[in-house]
Amino acid sequence: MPVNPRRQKLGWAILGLLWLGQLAYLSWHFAPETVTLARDLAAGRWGEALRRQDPLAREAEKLAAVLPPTAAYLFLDYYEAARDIKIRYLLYPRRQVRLEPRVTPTRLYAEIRRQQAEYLVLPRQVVFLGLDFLFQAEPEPFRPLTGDFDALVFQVEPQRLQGDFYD
Amino acid sequence: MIDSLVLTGRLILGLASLELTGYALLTLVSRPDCGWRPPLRLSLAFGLGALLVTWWMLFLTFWGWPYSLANLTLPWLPLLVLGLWRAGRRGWLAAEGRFLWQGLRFWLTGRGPAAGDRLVQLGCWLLLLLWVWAVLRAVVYPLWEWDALSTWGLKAKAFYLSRSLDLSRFEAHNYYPNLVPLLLAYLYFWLGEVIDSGVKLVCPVWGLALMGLFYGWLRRQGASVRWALGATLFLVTNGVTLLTHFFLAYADLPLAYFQLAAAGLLFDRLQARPLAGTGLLLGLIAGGMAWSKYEGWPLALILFLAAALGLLWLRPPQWGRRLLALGLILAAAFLLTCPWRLFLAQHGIVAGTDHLGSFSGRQLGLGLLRLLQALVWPSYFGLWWPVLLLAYLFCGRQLWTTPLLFLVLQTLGNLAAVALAYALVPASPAEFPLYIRATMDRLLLHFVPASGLLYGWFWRLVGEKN
Repeated sequence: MPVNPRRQKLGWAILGLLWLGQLAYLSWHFAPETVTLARDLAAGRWGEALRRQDPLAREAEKLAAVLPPTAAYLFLDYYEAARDIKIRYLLYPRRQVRLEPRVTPTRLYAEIRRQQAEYLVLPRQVVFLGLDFLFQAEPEPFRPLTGDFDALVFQVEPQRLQGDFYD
Repeated sequence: MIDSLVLTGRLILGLASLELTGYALLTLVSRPDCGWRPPLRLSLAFGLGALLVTWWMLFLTFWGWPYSLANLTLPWLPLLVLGLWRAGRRGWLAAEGRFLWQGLRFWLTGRGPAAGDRLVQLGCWLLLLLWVWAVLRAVVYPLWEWDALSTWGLKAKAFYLSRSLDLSRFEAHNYYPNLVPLLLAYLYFWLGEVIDSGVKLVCPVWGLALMGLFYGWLRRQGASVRWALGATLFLVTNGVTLLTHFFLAYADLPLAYFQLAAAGLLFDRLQARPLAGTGLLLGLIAGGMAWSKYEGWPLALILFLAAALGLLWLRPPQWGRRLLALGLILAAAFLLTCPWRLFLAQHGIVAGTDHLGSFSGRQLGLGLLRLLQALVWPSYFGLWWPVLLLAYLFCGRQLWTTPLLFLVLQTLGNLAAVALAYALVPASPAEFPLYIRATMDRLLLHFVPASGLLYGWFWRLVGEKN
């Protein structure tokens, strides 16, 4: 296709200008994280040290000290909060079963039995409307664990739960 | 400090082992006269190495052998020796050595063949700057992105700790293919522990391989160094999606890499270049698409369908024989997907139910609308799609009278597949826009580099005259 050289030059010039705009956009987009990256590097922070700045990662470390690697635990939280995937990753090989916080006691009991879960973890930020019984003085067969946790952590004996409770 | 250096050394050795294994395999599945230059060969080698090692890990699972560094590396030593011997005899080793030395010398001292061309210099420095930034961004921060934590990274950790492909302790789309998790686990074996920040060095290395591949294919089309480098820079700097994936432990970049490799090989075939010996390589690469992501196999089918339709329409000499060859290569690629299908069947894992539902016209309409928006959305791919459209239009009737037809068909096929995927996804009306927002850039990323193969052709129309 024959093309007027002057038009072609003009086309390249316009494209070049637009591309420069793209480069400027790219720089603007990545500038904040580049500044953060430079600060972290200057301070000698990387890898696990950066991870520990996240309260959830520190919480996972505390939980890992209590939950045996072979244990299964129920984690009650909303999917959208995405806390469960971080906790699941950090606590692996401990097996996580996530339930919604509005779970009924019967479903909770059924899952504990079915999954043979030995621990129950309730993030502090979440309201559990149907689980008042957990906050009584002796919520058998749940035993609250004391520790420096942000979450509420209970040890459970799944073998003490008999029958299928799920209605 | 010394510990960090030792770990870095181990990681680099692990990555080098992938490159060398793939390079050795490349010497076996290609001919000395294939006409590829060092960037293309070195880039293809990394993907092949990743495929070979991770497929081997899958086979070890079938045989019940626990993973260990020895089990994962020692079996490849004979291949390595044979491959390097062949490469030496072909003169490839000397050529790669010269290429790497020239590159290093240029970046260290500013001297070399490219030193006289200021635009080439600028392009090289910009690409290096972006890549080094991506490396730092990858290795300084631990895994923290959703899919990396919930799927790929979790599986990698599980495979490393269990010394096997053990999916029994979680549900994380367990039917997804495992190239990325097994590759991360392989590098953990080199590191000797789970270090999920350092291991992400593999992400920018995928990016480097993709850039090398793109550059290599354009040069293969006859584009000049300046043009090929400029187009590579144009690919990387348009929008933020591609560069972001240079430091994310997701499977989208490897899939884009394999799709680019497969599209380049098919485009080469349609242009009737000396091809003997590349059929097996194409089969491996198409198998690699399916091993990267669940949608990899459908995308491979689109590529082969586009190539077949191109042959049927253009009717080049021996088109029937070439069509048959395509079918055989596709069958070979399908065979490579069978071990994973067998694994799923053995473990009773059902594939795809969370992504495939019934057809929704409403979702198709909304998906199409968002797709069109995404093609011109600056933050996704910037000028890429508008400029590509102009370039296609500039080619005029060559679009349907030359092998360029293949690129047009594969791009349209991929766009149609994205729209269809949105029409089939089981999502509530409230959830659907969020689903689109979370996936659109990645779905487009898979075929952005392959669609840019046009620029090699475009060079013949425009570049040579300048």
